[in-house]
Amino acid sequence: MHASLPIAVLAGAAVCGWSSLLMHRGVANFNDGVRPVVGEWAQGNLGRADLSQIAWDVSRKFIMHESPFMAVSALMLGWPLLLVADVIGARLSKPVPAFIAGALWGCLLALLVQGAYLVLGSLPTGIVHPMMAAFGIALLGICAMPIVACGSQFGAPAALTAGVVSALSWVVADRLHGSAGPGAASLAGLLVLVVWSIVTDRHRPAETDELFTPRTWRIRRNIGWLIVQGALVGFAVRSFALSWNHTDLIAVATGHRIVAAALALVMVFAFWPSSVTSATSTGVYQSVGLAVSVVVAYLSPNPAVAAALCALVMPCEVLLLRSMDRVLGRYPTLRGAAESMRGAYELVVPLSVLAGCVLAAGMLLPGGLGTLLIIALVVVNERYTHTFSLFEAPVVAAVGVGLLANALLHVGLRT
Amino acid sequence: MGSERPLRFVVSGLSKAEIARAVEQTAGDRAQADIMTDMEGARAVKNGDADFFVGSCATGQGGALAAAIALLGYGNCVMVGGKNASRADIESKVLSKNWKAFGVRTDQVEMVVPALVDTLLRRTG
Repeated sequence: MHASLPIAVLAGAAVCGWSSLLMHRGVANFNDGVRPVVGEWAQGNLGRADLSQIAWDVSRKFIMHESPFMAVSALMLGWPLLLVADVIGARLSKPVPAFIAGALWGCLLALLVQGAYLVLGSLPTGIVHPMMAAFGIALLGICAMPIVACGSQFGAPAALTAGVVSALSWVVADRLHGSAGPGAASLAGLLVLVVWSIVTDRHRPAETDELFTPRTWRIRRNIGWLIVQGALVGFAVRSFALSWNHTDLIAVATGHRIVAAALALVMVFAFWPSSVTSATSTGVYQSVGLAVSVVVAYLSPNPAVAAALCALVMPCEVLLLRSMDRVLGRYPTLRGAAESMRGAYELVVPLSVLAGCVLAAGMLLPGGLGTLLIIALVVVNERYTHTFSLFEAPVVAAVGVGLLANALLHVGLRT
Repeated sequence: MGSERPLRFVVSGLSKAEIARAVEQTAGDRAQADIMTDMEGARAVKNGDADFFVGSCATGQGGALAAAIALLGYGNCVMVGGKNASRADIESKVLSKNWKAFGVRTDQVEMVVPALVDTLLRRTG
Protein backbone atom coordinates (compact mmCIF):
# COMPACT_ATOMS: atom_id res chain seq x y z
CA MET A 1 0.00 0.00 0.00
CA HIS A 2 1.23 3.48 -0.70
CA ALA A 3 -0.12 6.94 -1.48
CA SER A 4 -0.65 8.28 -4.95
CA LEU A 5 1.95 10.74 -6.21
CA PRO A 6 -0.12 13.91 -5.62
CA ILE A 7 -0.99 12.87 -2.08
CA ALA A 8 2.60 11.87 -1.33
CA VAL A 9 3.86 15.24 -2.59
CA LEU A 10 1.22 17.12 -0.60
CA ALA A 11 1.91 15.13 2.57
CA GLY A 12 5.67 15.41 2.22
CA ALA A 13 5.52 19.15 1.62
CA ALA A 14 3.14 19.80 4.50
CA VAL A 15 4.94 17.68 7.09
CA CYS A 16 8.45 18.79 6.17
CA GLY A 17 7.46 22.43 5.80
CA TRP A 18 5.70 22.58 9.15
CA SER A 19 8.42 20.56 10.88
CA SER A 20 11.04 22.97 9.58
CA LEU A 21 9.00 25.80 11.06
CA LEU A 22 8.78 24.00 14.41
CA MET A 23 12.55 23.54 14.46
CA HIS A 24 13.06 27.17 13.45
CA ARG A 25 11.05 28.27 16.49
CA GLY A 26 12.55 25.67 18.83
CA VAL A 27 9.15 24.07 19.38
CA ALA A 28 10.02 20.54 18.26
CA ASN A 29 12.67 18.65 16.37
CA PHE A 30 13.24 15.09 15.19
CA ASN A 31 16.84 14.19 16.05
CA ASP A 32 17.09 13.23 19.72
CA GLY A 33 20.78 14.09 19.65
CA VAL A 34 20.06 17.68 18.64
CA ARG A 35 17.19 18.30 21.06
CA PRO A 36 19.33 19.31 24.04
CA VAL A 37 21.11 21.80 21.82
CA VAL A 38 17.77 23.22 20.68
CA GLY A 39 16.89 23.59 24.34
CA GLU A 40 20.13 25.46 24.99
CA TRP A 41 19.49 27.70 21.97
CA ALA A 42 15.93 28.39 23.17
CA GLN A 43 17.38 29.52 26.51
CA GLY A 44 19.78 31.86 24.75
CA ASN A 45 22.91 29.90 25.66
CA LEU A 46 24.14 29.56 22.09
CA GLY A 47 23.53 31.19 18.73
CA ARG A 48 21.67 29.96 15.66
CA ALA A 49 24.93 29.45 13.77
CA ASP A 50 26.12 26.98 16.40
CA LEU A 51 22.71 25.29 16.45
CA SER A 52 22.78 24.99 12.68
CA GLN A 53 26.30 23.52 12.63
CA ILE A 54 25.52 20.97 15.32
CA ALA A 55 22.23 19.99 13.68
CA TRP A 56 24.07 19.36 10.41
CA ASP A 57 27.01 17.51 12.00
CA VAL A 58 24.81 15.18 14.00
CA SER A 59 22.18 14.58 11.32
CA ARG A 60 24.01 14.35 8.01
CA LYS A 61 25.08 10.71 8.32
CA PHE A 62 21.48 9.64 8.84
CA ILE A 63 19.67 11.78 6.28
CA MET A 64 19.38 9.14 3.59
CA HIS A 65 19.19 6.47 6.26
CA GLU A 66 17.36 3.44 5.02
CA SER A 67 16.49 5.00 1.67
CA PRO A 68 16.48 1.55 0.03
CA PHE A 69 13.37 0.76 2.08
CA MET A 70 11.68 3.82 0.62
CA ALA A 71 12.67 2.98 -2.95
CA VAL A 72 11.09 -0.47 -2.87
CA SER A 73 7.91 0.58 -1.04
CA ALA A 74 7.12 4.15 -2.21
CA LEU A 75 6.81 5.11 1.44
CA MET A 76 8.79 8.01 2.91
CA LEU A 77 10.53 7.39 6.22
CA GLY A 78 10.94 9.84 9.05
CA TRP A 79 14.72 10.20 8.83
CA PRO A 80 15.17 11.80 5.40
CA LEU A 81 12.11 13.97 5.80
CA LEU A 82 12.41 15.20 9.36
CA LEU A 83 16.20 15.28 9.80
CA VAL A 84 16.36 17.65 6.85
CA ALA A 85 13.55 19.66 8.44
CA ASP A 86 15.79 19.93 11.52
CA VAL A 87 18.72 21.17 9.43
CA ILE A 88 16.61 23.62 7.42
CA GLY A 89 14.83 24.96 10.47
CA ALA A 90 18.09 25.50 12.31
CA ARG A 91 19.86 27.07 9.36
CA LEU A 92 17.33 29.64 8.13
CA SER A 93 16.80 32.68 10.26
CA LYS A 94 13.35 33.60 8.95
CA PRO A 95 10.24 31.44 9.39
CA VAL A 96 8.68 31.76 5.93
CA PRO A 97 11.81 30.69 4.03
CA ALA A 98 12.23 27.83 6.52
CA PHE A 99 8.71 26.64 5.80
CA ILE A 100 9.09 26.98 2.04
CA ALA A 101 12.47 25.27 1.94
CA GLY A 102 11.13 22.41 4.06
CA ALA A 103 8.07 22.08 1.86
CA LEU A 104 10.23 21.97 -1.28
CA TRP A 105 12.38 19.21 0.21
CA GLY A 106 9.26 17.26 1.14
CA CYS A 107 8.03 17.55 -2.46
CA LEU A 108 11.37 16.51 -3.86
CA LEU A 109 11.68 13.53 -1.54
CA ALA A 110 8.20 12.31 -2.43
CA LEU A 111 9.02 12.59 -6.14
CA LEU A 112 12.32 10.75 -5.71
CA VAL A 113 10.77 7.95 -3.67
CA GLN A 114 7.84 7.42 -6.00
CA GLY A 115 10.10 7.71 -9.04
CA ALA A 116 12.51 5.09 -7.74
CA TYR A 117 9.60 2.78 -6.94
CA LEU A 118 8.19 3.21 -10.43
CA VAL A 119 11.52 2.43 -12.05
CA LEU A 120 12.19 -0.65 -9.92
CA GLY A 121 8.72 -1.97 -10.60
CA SER A 122 8.83 -1.33 -14.33
CA LEU A 123 11.96 -3.29 -15.11
CA PRO A 124 11.52 -6.49 -17.14
CA THR A 125 12.43 -8.46 -14.03
CA GLY A 126 10.41 -6.38 -11.60
CA ILE A 127 12.11 -5.83 -8.26
CA VAL A 128 9.17 -4.58 -6.23
CA HIS A 129 7.13 -7.78 -6.11
CA PRO A 130 9.95 -9.97 -4.74
CA MET A 131 10.76 -7.25 -2.20
CA MET A 132 7.17 -7.28 -0.99
CA ALA A 133 7.52 -11.04 -0.55
CA ALA A 134 10.71 -10.32 1.41
CA PHE A 135 8.91 -7.85 3.62
CA GLY A 136 6.14 -10.37 4.18
CA ILE A 137 8.68 -12.77 5.65
CA ALA A 138 10.39 -10.00 7.60
CA LEU A 139 7.08 -8.97 9.16
CA LEU A 140 6.68 -12.39 10.74
CA GLY A 141 10.11 -12.20 12.35
CA ILE A 142 9.67 -8.63 13.55
CA CYS A 143 6.79 -9.70 15.77
CA ALA A 144 9.33 -11.53 17.93
CA MET A 145 10.80 -8.23 19.17
CA PRO A 146 8.90 -8.16 22.47
CA ILE A 147 9.87 -11.76 23.22
CA VAL A 148 13.53 -10.93 22.71
CA ALA A 149 13.12 -7.82 24.85
CA CYS A 150 11.58 -9.88 27.66
CA GLY A 151 14.48 -12.28 27.55
CA SER A 152 17.03 -9.50 27.50
CA GLN A 153 15.45 -7.67 30.43
CA PHE A 154 14.20 -10.47 32.65
CA GLY A 155 15.78 -13.68 31.42
CA ALA A 156 14.54 -16.97 30.06
CA PRO A 157 11.35 -17.34 32.15
CA ALA A 158 10.04 -14.02 30.89
CA ALA A 159 10.98 -14.83 27.31
CA LEU A 160 9.27 -18.19 27.54
CA THR A 161 6.15 -16.61 29.01
CA ALA A 162 6.09 -13.94 26.33
CA GLY A 163 6.64 -16.58 23.67
CA VAL A 164 3.77 -18.75 24.85
CA VAL A 165 1.40 -15.82 25.31
CA SER A 166 2.35 -14.39 21.90
CA ALA A 167 1.91 -17.72 20.15
CA LEU A 168 -1.51 -18.30 21.73
CA SER A 169 -2.54 -14.76 20.83
CA TRP A 170 -1.45 -15.34 17.25
CA VAL A 171 -3.51 -18.51 16.94
CA VAL A 172 -6.62 -17.00 18.54
CA ALA A 173 -6.38 -13.76 16.55
CA ASP A 174 -5.94 -15.59 13.27
CA ARG A 175 -9.10 -17.58 13.95
CA LEU A 176 -11.03 -14.39 14.59
CA HIS A 177 -9.58 -12.44 11.70
CA GLY A 178 -7.10 -13.86 9.23
CA SER A 179 -3.69 -12.09 9.21
CA ALA A 180 -4.34 -10.48 12.62
CA GLY A 181 -1.90 -12.92 14.19
CA PRO A 182 1.33 -10.93 13.92
CA GLY A 183 -0.17 -7.80 15.41
CA ALA A 184 -1.82 -9.69 18.25
CA ALA A 185 1.41 -11.56 19.00
CA SER A 186 3.39 -8.30 19.14
CA LEU A 187 0.91 -6.67 21.50
CA ALA A 188 0.75 -9.76 23.70
CA GLY A 189 4.53 -9.80 24.02
CA LEU A 190 4.55 -6.10 24.83
CA LEU A 191 1.92 -6.65 27.51
CA VAL A 192 4.05 -9.35 29.16
CA LEU A 193 7.05 -7.00 29.16
CA VAL A 194 5.10 -4.13 30.70
CA VAL A 195 3.35 -6.28 33.31
CA TRP A 196 6.60 -7.99 34.29
CA SER A 197 8.23 -4.56 34.70
CA ILE A 198 5.41 -3.27 36.89
CA VAL A 199 5.36 -6.40 39.03
CA THR A 200 9.14 -6.13 39.48
CA ASP A 201 8.70 -2.62 40.92
CA ARG A 202 5.54 -3.24 42.89
CA HIS A 203 7.27 -3.02 46.27
CA ARG A 204 9.74 -0.34 45.27
CA PRO A 205 8.99 3.06 46.84
CA ALA A 206 8.26 5.79 44.34
CA GLU A 207 11.07 8.19 43.53
CA THR A 208 9.92 11.46 45.06
CA ASP A 209 13.00 13.53 44.33
CA GLU A 210 12.68 16.02 41.54
CA LEU A 211 15.77 14.93 39.69
CA PHE A 212 15.78 17.88 37.32
CA THR A 213 13.79 21.02 36.70
CA PRO A 214 11.13 20.16 34.16
CA ARG A 215 10.54 22.54 31.28
CA THR A 216 7.19 21.16 30.18
CA TRP A 217 5.69 24.64 30.57
CA ARG A 218 7.57 25.64 27.43
CA ILE A 219 6.09 22.80 25.41
CA ARG A 220 2.59 23.60 26.69
CA ARG A 221 3.05 27.19 25.59
CA ASN A 222 3.59 25.94 22.03
CA ILE A 223 0.69 23.51 22.03
CA GLY A 224 -1.09 25.27 19.18
CA TRP A 225 1.79 24.54 16.83
CA LEU A 226 1.76 20.90 17.88
CA ILE A 227 -1.96 20.53 17.19
CA VAL A 228 -1.24 21.33 13.54
CA GLN A 229 1.76 18.99 13.56
CA GLY A 230 -0.37 16.17 14.93
CA ALA A 231 -2.95 16.67 12.20
CA LEU A 232 -0.33 16.71 9.45
CA VAL A 233 1.49 13.64 10.73
CA GLY A 234 -1.82 11.80 11.11
CA PHE A 235 -2.83 12.66 7.57
CA ALA A 236 0.55 11.69 6.08
CA VAL A 237 0.72 8.37 7.92
CA ARG A 238 -2.87 7.31 7.18
CA SER A 239 -2.48 8.34 3.54
CA PHE A 240 0.37 5.82 3.42
CA ALA A 241 2.75 8.53 2.32
CA LEU A 242 4.90 8.45 5.46
CA SER A 243 6.04 5.70 7.81
CA TRP A 244 7.71 6.24 11.15
CA ASN A 245 10.36 3.49 11.03
CA HIS A 246 11.17 0.12 9.44
CA THR A 247 8.55 -1.87 11.31
CA ASP A 248 5.46 0.06 10.28
CA LEU A 249 6.88 0.62 6.80
CA ILE A 250 7.22 -3.12 6.28
CA ALA A 251 3.71 -3.75 7.61
CA VAL A 252 2.11 -1.03 5.48
CA ALA A 253 4.04 -1.97 2.35
CA THR A 254 2.67 -5.51 2.61
CA GLY A 255 -0.87 -4.30 3.18
CA HIS A 256 -1.16 -4.84 6.94
CA ARG A 257 -2.46 -1.54 8.33
CA ILE A 258 -3.59 -2.85 11.71
CA VAL A 259 -0.36 -4.80 12.22
CA ALA A 260 1.44 -1.53 11.47
CA ALA A 261 -0.50 0.08 14.31
CA ALA A 262 0.47 -2.74 16.67
CA LEU A 263 4.15 -2.55 15.74
CA ALA A 264 4.08 1.22 16.01
CA LEU A 265 2.71 0.86 19.55
CA VAL A 266 5.57 -1.52 20.39
CA MET A 267 8.00 1.11 19.14
CA VAL A 268 6.18 3.87 21.04
CA PHE A 269 6.99 1.93 24.19
CA ALA A 270 10.60 1.47 23.09
CA PHE A 271 11.20 5.20 22.79
CA TRP A 272 8.71 6.44 25.39
CA PRO A 273 11.01 6.97 28.42
CA SER A 274 13.80 8.67 26.52
CA SER A 275 11.31 10.84 24.60
CA VAL A 276 9.57 11.92 27.79
CA THR A 277 12.85 12.69 29.58
CA SER A 278 14.28 14.50 26.59
CA ALA A 279 11.15 16.63 26.19
CA THR A 280 10.61 17.48 29.85
CA SER A 281 14.25 18.34 30.46
CA THR A 282 14.76 20.51 27.35
CA GLY A 283 11.33 22.06 26.80
CA VAL A 284 11.52 20.96 23.16
CA TYR A 285 9.19 18.31 21.80
CA GLN A 286 9.67 15.51 19.28
CA SER A 287 8.48 16.20 15.74
CA VAL A 288 6.31 13.10 15.86
CA GLY A 289 5.60 13.50 19.57
CA LEU A 290 5.60 10.20 21.40
CA ALA A 291 4.39 8.71 18.08
CA VAL A 292 1.01 7.77 19.52
CA SER A 293 -0.29 9.80 16.55
CA VAL A 294 1.21 7.15 14.27
CA VAL A 295 -0.73 4.41 16.05
CA VAL A 296 -3.99 6.38 16.01
CA ALA A 297 -3.50 7.27 12.36
CA TYR A 298 -3.18 3.63 11.32
CA LEU A 299 -6.28 2.75 13.28
CA SER A 300 -8.31 5.54 11.68
CA PRO A 301 -10.73 4.74 8.86
CA ASN A 302 -9.37 7.43 6.54
CA PRO A 303 -6.83 10.27 6.40
CA ALA A 304 -9.33 13.00 7.28
CA VAL A 305 -10.37 11.26 10.49
CA ALA A 306 -6.72 10.51 11.23
CA ALA A 307 -5.86 14.20 10.90
CA ALA A 308 -8.71 15.21 13.21
CA LEU A 309 -7.88 12.62 15.85
CA CYS A 310 -4.14 13.16 15.78
CA ALA A 311 -4.67 16.90 16.15
CA LEU A 312 -6.02 15.98 19.58
CA VAL A 313 -3.54 13.21 20.36
CA MET A 314 -0.39 15.31 20.31
CA PRO A 315 -1.65 17.97 22.74
CA CYS A 316 -2.91 15.20 25.02
CA GLU A 317 0.61 13.74 25.04
CA VAL A 318 1.97 17.15 26.01
CA LEU A 319 -0.52 17.62 28.82
CA LEU A 320 0.33 14.18 30.19
CA LEU A 321 4.12 14.53 30.03
CA ARG A 322 4.62 15.26 33.71
CA SER A 323 2.29 12.41 34.68
CA MET A 324 4.29 10.07 32.47
CA ASP A 325 7.45 11.23 34.18
CA ARG A 326 5.90 10.31 37.52
CA VAL A 327 4.91 6.87 36.21
CA LEU A 328 8.51 6.31 35.16
CA GLY A 329 9.60 7.39 38.62
CA ARG A 330 7.19 4.92 40.24
CA TYR A 331 8.13 2.05 37.91
CA PRO A 332 11.74 2.66 36.86
CA THR A 333 12.12 -0.83 35.44
CA LEU A 334 10.00 0.38 32.54
CA ARG A 335 13.05 2.41 31.42
CA GLY A 336 15.18 -0.70 31.27
CA ALA A 337 12.41 -2.60 29.53
CA ALA A 338 12.12 0.11 26.90
CA GLU A 339 15.87 0.01 26.38
CA SER A 340 15.66 -3.76 25.97
CA MET A 341 12.95 -3.26 23.37
CA ARG A 342 15.21 -0.88 21.45
CA GLY A 343 17.96 -3.47 21.62
CA ALA A 344 15.55 -6.11 20.35
CA TYR A 345 14.60 -3.84 17.46
CA GLU A 346 18.28 -3.44 16.50
CA LEU A 347 18.75 -7.21 16.57
CA VAL A 348 15.50 -8.69 15.27
CA VAL A 349 14.60 -6.33 12.44
CA PRO A 350 17.87 -6.58 10.46
CA LEU A 351 17.88 -10.37 10.76
CA SER A 352 14.23 -10.59 9.72
CA VAL A 353 14.84 -8.33 6.75
CA LEU A 354 17.87 -10.42 5.78
CA ALA A 355 15.83 -13.59 5.88
CA GLY A 356 13.21 -12.05 3.64
CA CYS A 357 15.73 -10.56 1.23
CA VAL A 358 17.46 -13.91 0.78
CA LEU A 359 14.10 -15.21 -0.42
CA ALA A 360 13.71 -12.20 -2.71
CA ALA A 361 17.16 -12.68 -4.20
CA GLY A 362 16.30 -16.27 -4.98
CA MET A 363 13.17 -15.11 -6.79
CA LEU A 364 15.07 -12.45 -8.74
CA LEU A 365 17.91 -14.68 -9.84
CA PRO A 366 16.83 -18.29 -9.42
CA GLY A 367 19.14 -21.27 -9.47
CA GLY A 368 21.15 -20.35 -6.41
CA LEU A 369 23.17 -17.45 -7.81
CA GLY A 370 20.88 -14.81 -6.34
CA THR A 371 21.03 -16.40 -2.91
CA LEU A 372 24.81 -16.71 -3.06
CA LEU A 373 25.23 -13.12 -4.14
CA ILE A 374 23.06 -11.59 -1.49
CA ILE A 375 24.75 -13.49 1.31
CA ALA A 376 28.18 -12.60 -0.06
CA LEU A 377 27.32 -8.92 -0.39
CA VAL A 378 25.93 -8.68 3.12
CA VAL A 379 28.97 -10.45 4.57
CA VAL A 380 31.38 -8.17 2.69
CA ASN A 381 29.49 -5.11 3.90
CA GLU A 382 29.39 -6.32 7.47
CA ARG A 383 32.98 -7.54 7.65
CA TYR A 384 34.87 -5.10 5.46
CA THR A 385 33.20 -2.07 3.97
CA HIS A 386 30.45 -1.02 6.45
CA THR A 387 28.97 1.11 3.70
CA PHE A 388 25.39 0.32 4.65
CA SER A 389 23.71 -0.21 7.99
CA LEU A 390 22.69 -3.67 9.14
CA PHE A 391 19.11 -2.77 8.30
CA GLU A 392 19.60 -1.57 4.75
CA ALA A 393 22.42 -3.87 3.56
CA PRO A 394 20.13 -6.80 2.70
CA VAL A 395 17.70 -4.53 0.86
CA VAL A 396 20.51 -2.91 -1.11
CA ALA A 397 21.95 -6.33 -1.90
CA ALA A 398 18.57 -7.66 -3.04
CA VAL A 399 18.01 -4.65 -5.28
CA GLY A 400 21.52 -5.15 -6.62
CA VAL A 401 20.71 -8.75 -7.44
CA GLY A 402 17.57 -7.56 -9.17
CA LEU A 403 19.48 -5.06 -11.27
CA LEU A 404 21.98 -7.76 -12.18
CA ALA A 405 19.12 -10.03 -13.18
CA ASN A 406 17.85 -7.34 -15.51
CA ALA A 407 21.32 -6.74 -16.94
CA LEU A 408 21.79 -10.43 -17.65
CA LEU A 409 18.38 -10.52 -19.29
CA HIS A 410 19.27 -7.54 -21.41
CA VAL A 411 22.50 -9.10 -22.73
CA GLY A 412 20.84 -12.42 -23.34
CA LEU A 413 22.62 -14.40 -20.65
CA ARG A 414 19.33 -15.41 -19.09
CA THR A 415 15.75 -15.69 -20.26
CA MET B 1 39.73 11.65 43.09
CA GLY B 2 42.53 9.61 44.54
CA SER B 3 44.29 6.84 42.70
CA GLU B 4 43.76 4.24 45.48
CA ARG B 5 40.25 3.27 44.64
CA PRO B 6 39.03 2.07 41.25
CA LEU B 7 37.51 4.58 38.90
CA ARG B 8 33.77 4.05 38.95
CA PHE B 9 31.87 3.98 35.67
CA VAL B 10 28.16 3.52 35.21
CA VAL B 11 27.25 2.27 31.76
CA SER B 12 23.94 2.33 29.99
CA GLY B 13 22.23 2.11 26.63
CA LEU B 14 22.15 -0.32 23.75
CA SER B 15 25.76 -1.45 24.12
CA LYS B 16 26.02 -1.42 27.91
CA ALA B 17 27.35 -4.98 28.15
CA GLU B 18 30.02 -4.33 25.53
CA ILE B 19 31.07 -1.10 27.20
CA ALA B 20 31.31 -2.77 30.62
CA ARG B 21 33.45 -5.51 29.11
CA ALA B 22 35.70 -2.98 27.36
CA VAL B 23 36.17 -1.04 30.60
CA GLU B 24 37.18 -4.19 32.47
CA GLN B 25 39.51 -5.36 29.71
CA THR B 26 41.19 -1.98 29.47
CA ALA B 27 41.55 -1.09 33.12
CA GLY B 28 41.52 -4.38 35.01
CA ASP B 29 41.12 -3.61 38.69
CA ARG B 30 41.81 0.08 38.22
CA ALA B 31 38.20 0.65 37.22
CA GLN B 32 34.80 -0.88 37.71
CA ALA B 33 31.79 -0.67 35.43
CA ASP B 34 28.25 -1.03 36.73
CA ILE B 35 25.37 -1.51 34.31
CA MET B 36 22.32 0.63 35.09
CA THR B 37 19.45 2.33 33.36
CA ASP B 38 20.30 5.79 32.10
CA MET B 39 18.38 7.57 34.84
CA GLU B 40 19.91 5.44 37.62
CA GLY B 41 23.37 5.92 36.17
CA ALA B 42 23.06 9.66 35.81
CA ARG B 43 21.72 9.93 39.34
CA ALA B 44 24.65 7.87 40.65
CA VAL B 45 27.09 10.33 39.09
CA LYS B 46 25.10 13.30 40.36
CA ASN B 47 25.12 11.89 43.90
CA GLY B 48 28.82 11.08 43.79
CA ASP B 49 28.27 7.32 43.86
CA ALA B 50 30.02 7.00 40.51
CA ASP B 51 32.67 9.03 38.73
CA PHE B 52 31.56 8.85 35.11
CA PHE B 53 28.52 7.93 33.02
CA VAL B 54 28.92 6.23 29.66
CA GLY B 55 25.83 5.89 27.51
CA SER B 56 25.38 4.34 24.09
CA CYS B 57 22.95 4.54 21.22
CA ALA B 58 22.97 4.60 17.45
CA THR B 59 24.16 8.21 17.30
CA GLY B 60 26.02 8.43 20.58
CA GLN B 61 24.08 11.55 21.41
CA GLY B 62 20.37 11.82 22.09
CA GLY B 63 19.41 8.40 23.27
CA ALA B 64 22.76 7.84 24.95
CA LEU B 65 22.80 11.08 26.90
CA ALA B 66 19.17 12.22 27.33
CA ALA B 67 18.97 11.32 31.01
CA ALA B 68 22.54 12.44 31.71
CA ILE B 69 21.86 15.83 30.14
CA ALA B 70 18.66 16.15 32.14
CA LEU B 71 20.35 15.42 35.49
CA LEU B 72 23.92 16.56 34.99
CA GLY B 73 23.43 19.44 32.60
CA TYR B 74 24.23 19.85 28.93
CA GLY B 75 27.64 21.37 29.69
CA ASN B 76 28.83 18.23 31.50
CA CYS B 77 28.02 15.77 28.73
CA VAL B 78 29.82 15.07 25.48
CA MET B 79 29.77 12.63 22.64
CA VAL B 80 33.10 10.93 21.96
CA GLY B 81 34.08 9.27 18.74
CA GLY B 82 32.28 10.05 15.51
CA LYS B 83 33.23 9.66 11.89
CA ASN B 84 36.99 9.32 11.34
CA ALA B 85 37.78 10.04 14.99
CA SER B 86 41.28 8.94 15.99
CA ARG B 87 42.59 7.98 19.41
CA ALA B 88 44.24 11.36 19.62
CA ASP B 89 40.92 13.07 18.85
CA ILE B 90 39.23 11.11 21.60
CA GLU B 91 41.96 11.90 24.11
CA SER B 92 41.87 15.56 23.21
CA LYS B 93 38.12 15.78 23.65
CA VAL B 94 38.11 13.90 26.94
CA LEU B 95 40.84 16.14 28.35
CA SER B 96 39.26 19.36 27.09
CA LYS B 97 36.98 19.68 30.09
CA ASN B 98 35.99 17.93 33.31
CA TRP B 99 33.20 15.96 31.63
CA LYS B 100 30.89 13.78 33.67
CA ALA B 101 29.04 11.87 30.97
CA PHE B 102 30.13 10.43 27.65
CA GLY B 103 28.02 9.24 24.74
CA VAL B 104 29.34 6.51 22.48
CA ARG B 105 27.98 5.14 19.22
CA THR B 106 27.12 1.47 19.40
CA ASP B 107 29.34 0.68 16.40
CA GLN B 108 32.35 2.44 17.92
CA VAL B 109 32.49 0.92 21.38
CA GLU B 110 35.59 -1.18 20.72
CA MET B 111 37.49 1.78 19.35
CA VAL B 112 36.32 4.53 21.68
CA VAL B 113 35.94 2.99 25.13
CA PRO B 114 39.56 1.83 25.62
CA ALA B 115 40.83 5.26 24.61
CA LEU B 116 38.29 6.95 26.88
CA VAL B 117 39.13 4.78 29.88
CA ASP B 118 42.91 5.07 29.36
CA THR B 119 42.68 8.84 29.15
CA LEU B 120 40.57 9.16 32.27
CA LEU B 121 42.86 6.82 34.21
CA ARG B 122 45.91 8.88 33.22
CA ARG B 123 44.18 12.09 34.19
CA THR B 124 43.07 10.87 37.58
CA GLY B 125 45.87 8.48 38.39
